[in-house]
Amino acid sequence: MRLKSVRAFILIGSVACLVAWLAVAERKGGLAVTAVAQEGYPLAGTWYGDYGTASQKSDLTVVMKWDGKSVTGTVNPGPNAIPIKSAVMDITPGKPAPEGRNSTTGIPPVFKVHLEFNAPGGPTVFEGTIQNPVAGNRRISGTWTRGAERGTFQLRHL
Amino acid sequence: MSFRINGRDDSAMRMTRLFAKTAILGLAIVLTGNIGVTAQAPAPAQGRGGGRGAAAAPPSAPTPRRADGKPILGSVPGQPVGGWGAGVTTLPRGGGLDEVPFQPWARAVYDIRQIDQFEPHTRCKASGVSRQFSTPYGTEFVEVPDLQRMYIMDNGGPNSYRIIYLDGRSFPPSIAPTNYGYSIGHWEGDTLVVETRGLNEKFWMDTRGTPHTAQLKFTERFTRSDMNTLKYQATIDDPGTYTKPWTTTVFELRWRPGDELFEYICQQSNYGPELMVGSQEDVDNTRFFVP
Amino acid sequence: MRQFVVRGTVCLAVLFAAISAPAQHTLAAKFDLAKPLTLTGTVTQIDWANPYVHVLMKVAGQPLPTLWAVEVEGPIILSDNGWTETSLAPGETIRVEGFAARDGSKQISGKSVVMTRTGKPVYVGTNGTPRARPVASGPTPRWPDGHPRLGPPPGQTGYWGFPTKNSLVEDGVDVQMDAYGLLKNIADAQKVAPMQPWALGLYKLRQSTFLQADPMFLKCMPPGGPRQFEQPYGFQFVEQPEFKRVFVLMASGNRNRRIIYTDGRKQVGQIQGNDDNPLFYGYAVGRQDGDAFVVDTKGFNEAFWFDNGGLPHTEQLQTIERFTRTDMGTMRYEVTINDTGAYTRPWKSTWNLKWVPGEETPYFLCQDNRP
Repeated sequence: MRLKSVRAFILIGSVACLVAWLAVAERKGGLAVTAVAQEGYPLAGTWYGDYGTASQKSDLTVVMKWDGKSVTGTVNPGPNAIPIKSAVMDITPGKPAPEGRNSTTGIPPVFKVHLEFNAPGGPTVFEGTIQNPVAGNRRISGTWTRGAERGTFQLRHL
Repeated sequence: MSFRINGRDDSAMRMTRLFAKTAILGLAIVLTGNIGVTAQAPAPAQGRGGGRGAAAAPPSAPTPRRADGKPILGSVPGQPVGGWGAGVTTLPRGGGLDEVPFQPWARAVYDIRQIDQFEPHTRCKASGVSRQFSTPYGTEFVEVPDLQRMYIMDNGGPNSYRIIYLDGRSFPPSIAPTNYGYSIGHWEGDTLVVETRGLNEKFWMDTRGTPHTAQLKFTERFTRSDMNTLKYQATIDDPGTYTKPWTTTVFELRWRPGDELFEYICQQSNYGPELMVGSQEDVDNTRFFVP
Repeated sequence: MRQFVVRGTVCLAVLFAAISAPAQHTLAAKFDLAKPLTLTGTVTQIDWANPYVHVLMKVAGQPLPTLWAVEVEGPIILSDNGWTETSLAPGETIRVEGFAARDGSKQISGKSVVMTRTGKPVYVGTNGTPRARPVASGPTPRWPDGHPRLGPPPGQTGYWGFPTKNSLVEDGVDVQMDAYGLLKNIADAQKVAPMQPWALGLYKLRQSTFLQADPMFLKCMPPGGPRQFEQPYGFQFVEQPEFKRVFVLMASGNRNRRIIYTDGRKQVGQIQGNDDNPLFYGYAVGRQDGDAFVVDTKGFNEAFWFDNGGLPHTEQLQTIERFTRTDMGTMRYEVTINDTGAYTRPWKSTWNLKWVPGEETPYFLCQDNRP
C-alpha cells in the first residue's frame, strides 16, 4: 500500500470544463461532533476498561456523545450493544485561586459520574470519579451495582 | 518509544527538569501579573526581539484604506510590514466570569484548567479563532485581494496559518473539523465580520481555556479604528457549552510597525508539557500508538 | 505584447487511479517486515487523525482482552479513496494482517483489514470510485509585468503537490528507492550523492535502520530544505510583491508557514530573533532570473533531516533552488546542494511538482494525534 509510488491515469475529455464545483474545496469525512473529543465535554468520547468483582472481570467499552443537553451513547458497541439509559456528571465546584495568584493554590472541582444501563442481568448503575478530567487520557474509577451484585470498575478515555 | 520527551525519565533528566521548572516558574510568576501568558516557554534558540514593545508608540494616523475604500487590516503597501500585538488573553475579560453563560460543567472545566494549564498551543497544536491573538509574539494579517482572502498568522505555537475567505462563498454542507475551522468574512461598513464553523475540540480558544465543543460557531468583528488600533470582539455560539450565545467585551490590539513574522518551531526545545505550572506535570499523557 | 494572466483551462479528470502516496514515514521505520502478524479484534474507536489513522480494537485474551492499534493510511489519503471516519463502526469485528511494531508495543500495520460481517476490506484500497482530482492545463499564468505566477491566477486557488521524486538523488544517478527514500539495495548508497566519508557512513546507518531515527517521524521536526518539496500533500506559494515577499504555506510538517524575501536583504538575523541563530527553514532570499524564481537559502540548523531518505547536512548547507513554471500545471524544481561540511562538491537534483487547481492544500498537522 504505502510502498507504491503515485500513479494517475488521466483521460482528459474535450468537453467544456466545469469550474463551479471547484469553488469550495473541502475534505469528506467530517462529523459535526467528532468521536475523539479531547478538550470538550469531559464524558464525550470513547472509554475502555473493565468492571467486575475480585474474582471475575469483563472488559467494557463506553461511547458517549454530548449535544448540549444530555449524554447519549452505547455500552459495548457491536452485536451485544446496550444503549445508555442515562449518564450524568455531578460536579462539586471548587474554589479557584484569586485572580493573579499562583493558580495551583486553587481547589479543583470534583467530577463525579453516574451511569445507568439495562444489562441482560438487570439494571446496572456505575458511580465513579473522573481523575484528571481535562486530560486527554482521563480516567474514571468507582463502583457498580446490579441488584445484589457489586464490584469496581475502571475506564480510561481513548 | 524511548525518545518520547513526555515519558518517565531517569534522575538526571528529573534534575534538569526541576532546574528548568524553577526558572520557568519564576518567569511565569513575573508574566502572570502582566498579560497572563504563563504557558509559552520561550524557545531558547529563538529568543525574542528587542524592538518589540520597547519603541515609543507609533504616530497616530487615520485608518489606512484601499482604492475601493475598504480598510486595510494588515500591512500598508509602501510602509514597513507590521503586526498586531497580543490583545486577547481570556475571552471573559471585562464582563467577568459570572456573566458568562457557562453550563455548570463548562464553568468547572474552566476552573480546573486554571490549575492544570495543560494548554494545547504550547503542545504545538494549532489553536484557532481568538487564541491567535493571545500570543505575545504578535500576529500578522496577510491580505491577498487578488485571491479574495486573508491569512492570519500568529507567531509561536505551530507557526501555522488560518485562511479567511472573502469571496462571498457559503459554508459547505459538511466540514471536516480542524483546529482553525472554516472562516468566511464579509464587510459590514468598516468592520470585517468573520464567521467560523467546523472547529474541532483539540485546542483552547484562549490562553485560559474558556471551553468549547465542536458545535461552536464563532463570530469575530475586526475594526481598525485608526492606524494603530484594531478593535476585536467575539460572539460565542456553542449550545454544547453555554446556555446561550454571548459576546465579549471589545479588545484592542496595538499596531507594531516593523514587526515581522519569524520562525518559531515549537517542537525544538519544547519542554512545555513537562514544565507546565499546574498539576498535570506528572500525568502520563502519552498515546500508545505515537509516533 | 506581453502575455497577461491567462486563465488556465481546468478539466475534470475522467478517471483517476487510487491514490497511494507516502504520508509520513516508511513502513519499516515503525514496523518489522520480518514479523508478519494476523489478529482479529473488535473495534473500539477510530482515531481519525494525522499523520495516520488508527483503528483501536480489543483482541481476545485472558484475563481480559488487550487493546491494539491498527495503523492504516492518513485521513487525507483515506478520504481521497472514499473512506470516512464512519466507514467502520465501533463494535464491528475485523481481521487484520500486517506487521508487528518494532518496539514491541501493541501495534500492527494494516496491510489488510477485513470486516468480518461483510467480508469486505475497509480502510485499505478504495471504497467505490476514488474522488476525481481536477487537472490543470494551459500556458503559464503571468503577472502584468510578464513574470510567471507562482500561485493561482486572480480569483482562483490551487496548490503544488505530487512531486515526481520523493527524495534527493543526484541528477543522472539511477538507484531504486521506495516512496520515502529507503534504498532497495544499501550498496547503492554511495551513488546517491557525492558524500564525504563521514556523511556516507551516517547515511548508511540511517538507511540500514529503516530511517527510524528520522526526527520528523519521532518528534515532528520540520521538513526544512528540499524536503518540503518532496512531500505529496504539497504547499502553496502566496506572493505579495507589494511587500517583496513570497509565503510558502505547507501542508507538511506541522502545517508551517515561512517567508522567502525578495527585497534583497542579507541572510542574517531574524527581526525578532537572536542574531544569526540557525533556523530549520533557513534564511531564504529570492529573485527572478528570466522565467525562473531563484531562491538562495542558508543558515540551516542540524536538528532535522533535509531529505526524506536521510541524506545528511551540516550548518554549512546552502541551497539554490530554481522554480520554473513551464505551464499552468507544472513546476520544475531544481535544487543545487552546496554543503562543504558533508559533500565533496555541489550537486543537483531535479523533479517536477504538479498544480492541483481549485483546492487548498490538504489539512495536515504532524502533531495531530499526539497528546
